[in-house]
Amino acid sequence: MEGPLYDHIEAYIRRELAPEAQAAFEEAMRTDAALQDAVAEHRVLMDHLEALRLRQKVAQNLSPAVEKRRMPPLLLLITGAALVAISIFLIRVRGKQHPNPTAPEIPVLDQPSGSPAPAPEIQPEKAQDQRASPLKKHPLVADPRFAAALRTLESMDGTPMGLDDVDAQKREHLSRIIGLLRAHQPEQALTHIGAFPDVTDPEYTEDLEWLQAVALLGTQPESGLQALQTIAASPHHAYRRKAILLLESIQ
Amino acid sequence: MTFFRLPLVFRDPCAQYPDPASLMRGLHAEEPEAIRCLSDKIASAVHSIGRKYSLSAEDIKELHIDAIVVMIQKIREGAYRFMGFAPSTYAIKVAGMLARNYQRASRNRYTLPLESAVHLQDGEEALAALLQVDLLERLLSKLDERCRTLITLKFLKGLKDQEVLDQHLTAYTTLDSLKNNRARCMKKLSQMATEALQKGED
Repeated sequence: MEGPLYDHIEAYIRRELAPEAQAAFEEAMRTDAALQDAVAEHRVLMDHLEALRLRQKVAQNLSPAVEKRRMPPLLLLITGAALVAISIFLIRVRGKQHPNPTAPEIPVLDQPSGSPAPAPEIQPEKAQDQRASPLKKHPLVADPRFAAALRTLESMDGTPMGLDDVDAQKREHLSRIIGLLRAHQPEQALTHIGAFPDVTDPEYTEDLEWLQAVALLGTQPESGLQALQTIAASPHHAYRRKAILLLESIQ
Repeated sequence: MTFFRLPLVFRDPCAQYPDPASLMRGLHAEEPEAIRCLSDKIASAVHSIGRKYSLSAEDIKELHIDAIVVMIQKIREGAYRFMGFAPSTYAIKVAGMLARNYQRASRNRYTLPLESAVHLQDGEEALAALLQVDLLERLLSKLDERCRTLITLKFLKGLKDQEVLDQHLTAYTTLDSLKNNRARCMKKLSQMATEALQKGED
């Protein structure tokens, strides 16, 4: 496979030879099978080199969207950290513009008095501040008082106070009620609350009373308020402090 | 009247290709904006296809490039004829066919014999050709520097022989010596490719 003809394969394929030379080359190919193979191989190689050139050109002109999707982990990390930093900065700036009121003092909480304490005074401006929460924007939450009550369930991280201490059956019962409340189905929650009474377990009963008050706020707000006031007035009730704070925020 | 041009990243690459026919013409001419426009249009779909076939991020990018390359080749070969369909639709279809064969091909990468491409279906044929291109890229890097330069300048950079001489990009000073040496380098590359394919078949 050596010889001057082999040096002219490319020129032959590209038709760059003079007409006589082109004809002579074709004539040589008819009698030389090795030359024929060499031309075929060379042609394939040129095709692939052309494809490689095209491939490199396409790779250079890819959409930035493709590169964005391949953002390396370090860049992702930096981007995430920057977003967090900006969020913290914005929250702080906003906090300075709208400082939160200090937590209300509830001296009656620590008094082990047997007599019911009076319901605390309501501060409407604090209730307004609470209503500014984005949670209020949920379309299913019609009554802002019920929404505020639901927020207390979220702050409880999904478990009523005594949930860890009650037995499995009661725990399941309470979880189901919380689930219904979170799904904005206070009527069904009330039905479940009445389905499993156990007066021998005071902690469980207090859990149910609290959830009942929350559910009532979603169905009969006035009755819900009364239930909350009853809890707030019970000095040893596990949810007394929560009831007082909730009453302050929703009235 | 335009006083300034926006940087490339802020420009809409598809602005000058308002319809499929103009985009196809742009792709045929390998206009960078046309390539970027098609790339933009298929990015999301190709990414979804890649995820569907559990391809890595790197492979998804390769899939993206391959789909556009095949699309341009099909336009040139006349295999894709414009009938009012968006070129992006065709390119996404190509990406789907390629992705289907990616996983299987990854098991015996670089081993598909060239001849078998003739009997393969469209997507497989395209993939086989692309695997050959991939192999060729690797072999080129193994060539000695002199040969690599000669081949790269001509076939990948698209420079004419006279330009290579005028700019003194190689040690050769005459057209004949340039062409003859490149022919030998091509033969060497061809032999390397044949050996690589035979090793793969064994």
